[in-house]
Amino acid sequence: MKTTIPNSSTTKPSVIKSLVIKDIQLNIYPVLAYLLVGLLSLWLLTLEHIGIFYGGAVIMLSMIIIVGAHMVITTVTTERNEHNLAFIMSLPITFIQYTHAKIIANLVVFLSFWLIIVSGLMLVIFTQAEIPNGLAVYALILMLEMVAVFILVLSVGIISESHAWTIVVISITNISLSLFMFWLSSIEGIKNHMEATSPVWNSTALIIIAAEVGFMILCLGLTYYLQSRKRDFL
Amino acid sequence: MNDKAFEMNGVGRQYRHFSLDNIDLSLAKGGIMGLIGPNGAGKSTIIRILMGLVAADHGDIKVLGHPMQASQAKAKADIGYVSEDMRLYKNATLNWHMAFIEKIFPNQWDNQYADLLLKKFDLIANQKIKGMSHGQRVKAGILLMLARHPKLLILDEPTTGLDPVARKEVINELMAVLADEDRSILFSSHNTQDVEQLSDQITFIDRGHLVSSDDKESFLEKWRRVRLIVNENHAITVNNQIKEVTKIGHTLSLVINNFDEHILADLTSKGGNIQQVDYMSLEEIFVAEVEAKRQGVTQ
Repeated sequence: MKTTIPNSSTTKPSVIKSLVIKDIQLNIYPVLAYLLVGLLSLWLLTLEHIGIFYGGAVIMLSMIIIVGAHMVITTVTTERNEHNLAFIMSLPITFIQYTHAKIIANLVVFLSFWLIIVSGLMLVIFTQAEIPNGLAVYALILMLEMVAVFILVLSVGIISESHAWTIVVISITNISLSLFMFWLSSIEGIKNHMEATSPVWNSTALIIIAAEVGFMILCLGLTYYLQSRKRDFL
Repeated sequence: MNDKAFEMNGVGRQYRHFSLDNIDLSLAKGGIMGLIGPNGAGKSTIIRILMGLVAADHGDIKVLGHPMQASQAKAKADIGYVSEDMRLYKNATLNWHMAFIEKIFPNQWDNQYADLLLKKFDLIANQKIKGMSHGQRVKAGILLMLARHPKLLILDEPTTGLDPVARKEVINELMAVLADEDRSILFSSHNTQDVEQLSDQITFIDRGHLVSSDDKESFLEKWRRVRLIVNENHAITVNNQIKEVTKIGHTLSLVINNFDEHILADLTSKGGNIQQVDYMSLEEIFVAEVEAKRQGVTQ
């Protein structure tokens, strides 16, 4: 047993990094399982049967939704419900640093998953002769919508700290995905180029993408603003 | 150099159904303070304010010289905190938690001491938290806190729900920690026995008010229970010193504050025949202090 107390002032300022790694470590196995199913769904997209293609698309979209919901629920709301937050907040961090850690961990996991799936999807679109390359624009806008929805769910989870509210928002945004797909495919600037031999990045597509990115920034900004106003953390 | 482990001056917090009123409290470095109060008295609120987890509406708070909540990260680097409602990650092992804390406190974490505590507490490092009993989980939390040698330990009801054996193990280890004179401890409990065993300074809290705060010996010296036989014409009643009078037949049992030898002579002159003078337990003193304070408030 040591007889002297080490000087804590030399403690590395890497608490945020440790918290991020902690959230990734604790969720790595389910996320890898979702990724495996996601990759399987991409393979289904390459099969010629139209029913299997749609099945693959549904599984792919579901995996993106599930990985996002899983991360937010386990790393944010469950942590509070199961009283792990007291343990975490006893560490040398402020609540804003805690918020940084949660946002970074969730974005790292979700965006890594998303990038792999989107890259695979683009590969499928551009390599499969039966799928028109023009579909890439529609697909990317749809995928960005899923990032925006994930950030919305994450923000609600962090701000509300409530399982119930987070699940309500996940359910509403899930239903809205079908409406968004229907709405997007009905816009002339998108619809008219879905069957094109190469992607058409017209102003309609760029405006929608800009709106999606703006929504993401707004959600994150609001999260930090509201978190900074909180006075009680337990 | 600041010689206080913590200082609270005029600290208050208003909730809808509870308010913490103007708390002035401090603990010298190396001191051990027991915070005693019934459930809902405000012990956890005080502790959460000290930890920067809850903001005070007013007042100044300094912990290890750092203002709270502003410098909570700096202060918490040297605080070890364990509370009754704190839980570790159920799907991770104790070993994983130890590695996690070591990563955060690489210069403070003491592997040798952690191994020693594992043996003392009879814990298995590779066991998942969800497979542990409540007592083992509490001991695991205390191990994680102690093995990084914090300067100030803040313990919010750590022994609640523990069986007598686990409680003794925890108390014994905390007493061993006290051998380090620089270490300060704030220990809240409604179990006065634990507090009496550990603390050298006692603070009573009730309904959000600080009832009294003094060193343990002063409390024990100040209070007595006196049993005496009286005749029908005795003139012994409740006053500033006699806080409680219980009559059974011709026997009176008195609870006396600020006890001195003169009061015995006074009781005799008022028709009493002293039978027995006893020290009171901390629990009895706590109840008497709270009742005296409540009567004082309502009068």
